[in-house]
Amino acid sequence: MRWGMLIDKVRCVQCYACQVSCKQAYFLPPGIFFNRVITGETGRFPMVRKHTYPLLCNHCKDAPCVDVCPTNASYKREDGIVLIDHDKCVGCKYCIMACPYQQRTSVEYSEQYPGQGYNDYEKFGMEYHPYQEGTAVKCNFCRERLDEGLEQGLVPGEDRAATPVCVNACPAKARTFGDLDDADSKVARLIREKNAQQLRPEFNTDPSVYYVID
Amino acid sequence: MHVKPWEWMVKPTPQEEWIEGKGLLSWLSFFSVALGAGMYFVATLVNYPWAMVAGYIVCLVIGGGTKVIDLGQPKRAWRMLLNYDGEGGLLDAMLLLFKSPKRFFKMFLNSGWRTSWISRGMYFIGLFAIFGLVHIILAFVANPAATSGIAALTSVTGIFAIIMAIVSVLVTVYAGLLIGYVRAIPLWGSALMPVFFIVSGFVGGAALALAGRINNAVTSAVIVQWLQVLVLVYVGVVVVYLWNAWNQSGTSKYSVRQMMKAGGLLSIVFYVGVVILGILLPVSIVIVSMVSAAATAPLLAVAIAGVIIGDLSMRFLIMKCGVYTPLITTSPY
Repeated sequence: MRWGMLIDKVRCVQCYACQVSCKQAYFLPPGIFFNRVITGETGRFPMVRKHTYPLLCNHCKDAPCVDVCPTNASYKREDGIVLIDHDKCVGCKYCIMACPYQQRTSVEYSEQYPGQGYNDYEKFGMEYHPYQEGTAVKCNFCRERLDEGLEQGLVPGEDRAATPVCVNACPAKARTFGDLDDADSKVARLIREKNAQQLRPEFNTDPSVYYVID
Repeated sequence: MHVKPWEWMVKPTPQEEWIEGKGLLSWLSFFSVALGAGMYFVATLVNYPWAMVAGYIVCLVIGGGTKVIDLGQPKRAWRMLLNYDGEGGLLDAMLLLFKSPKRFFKMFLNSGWRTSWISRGMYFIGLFAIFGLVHIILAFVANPAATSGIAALTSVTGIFAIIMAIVSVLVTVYAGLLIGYVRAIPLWGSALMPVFFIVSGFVGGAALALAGRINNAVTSAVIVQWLQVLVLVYVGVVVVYLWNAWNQSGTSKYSVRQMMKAGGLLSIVFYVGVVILGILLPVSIVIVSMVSAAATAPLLAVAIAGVIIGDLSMRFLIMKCGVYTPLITTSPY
């Protein structure tokens, strides 16, 4: 079993719902994102083309962030999800440097409105979902939802309660989640049918996130 | 060299964790560790105990200390050496030696050293600290007559000298391997990175060792010979490294261009720090010292200062100009 995701760039409307819903669900401090949307342009007027890439941790099969971790805080589960044990993380930031997709961040709490103290939302988040300052954080494919859903007999990618928040939030249904190793799963089928590709395969990390480019 | 938020990973994006704000300590740490170990190595070869002490302090106190301070959770630094899965801290981990010796030794075997250069570096520095302390004590108390010639190699001091020479090389080179492993930054992911670190560590170390013996004709002559070779090798390595980066990929070429682009702070550091003070000045003095046998102490002092400033500047530029390849696949980089 290897959890993975397909992002259909053709369907993506750049609404940032994935980025916002993830930030909200995990009470992420200012400046920290597990999901991002980047936009670039190529060409010259009038032949300009816009390229949008929703980004998240790719949970690479050959993850450099796991190799470089000096404390074994970064590790890969059997189902392919790359996780961080925050009680072991020493905050050396080597994993942040090593990630070619730059999907890891070091936690530093700061006020959303400097000088005015933390607002109620931030205070609730720091209590309900605290982060250890100085440690690395990143997307974990909503593994709490995944694990709880599997215990209840739900199917991640099909049952919303067991599916990552960003997948549920997408209004254009641009994201599909499932088991890449199951040839009959929706995500595996779509990857084949739409000829989806990994982002920057020359990085040689074998990501678990695929993109439909055209 | 900041990117605007909408340009993040759309254009070459500089790394900031190891050079901005508190990250400056990482730059100082990598420099000090290599410089200190290089100085220790040269001092060992010329049997100069006080320079060994200075190298030891620079490497461990300044180099090691700045790195520990830079960590997000410095109290957990011991975890880079031990893979402890239980609850509790270092004391509980150490008590396993008595409770479960097999599990205790497995903590070392299963630690991050298997794949992480930071963990390996911590082990090298640990060996440097332990063996270096013993070696320094022996170097001060040993009879000089007994530690010269072939007999020196078989004496206890001589054996520790050999061990420390090897460990010093490992400590000098590990940061280069650590940075060179980061393929995500094309400027860094080069086989020349460890070569640069080891050569620059020895050049800086030799320069500092010379600074202490500048008025000692015998020792300074030996160190000057070392410097003459090392400075020229260093210049060659820097030139080849930059040439390789220029031709390796669009992103690494962008990095080199940022160093050389006139008008910015980085170009001042490059042309004044690296080119003039770090290369032209020491090379000129080396040539003078080769042509005329007398290299006066003031000239040597200037060369030493130039080498140190040049090395510091080059490492600063490597950290500052390290950029990530944009993720937009149609990017020209």
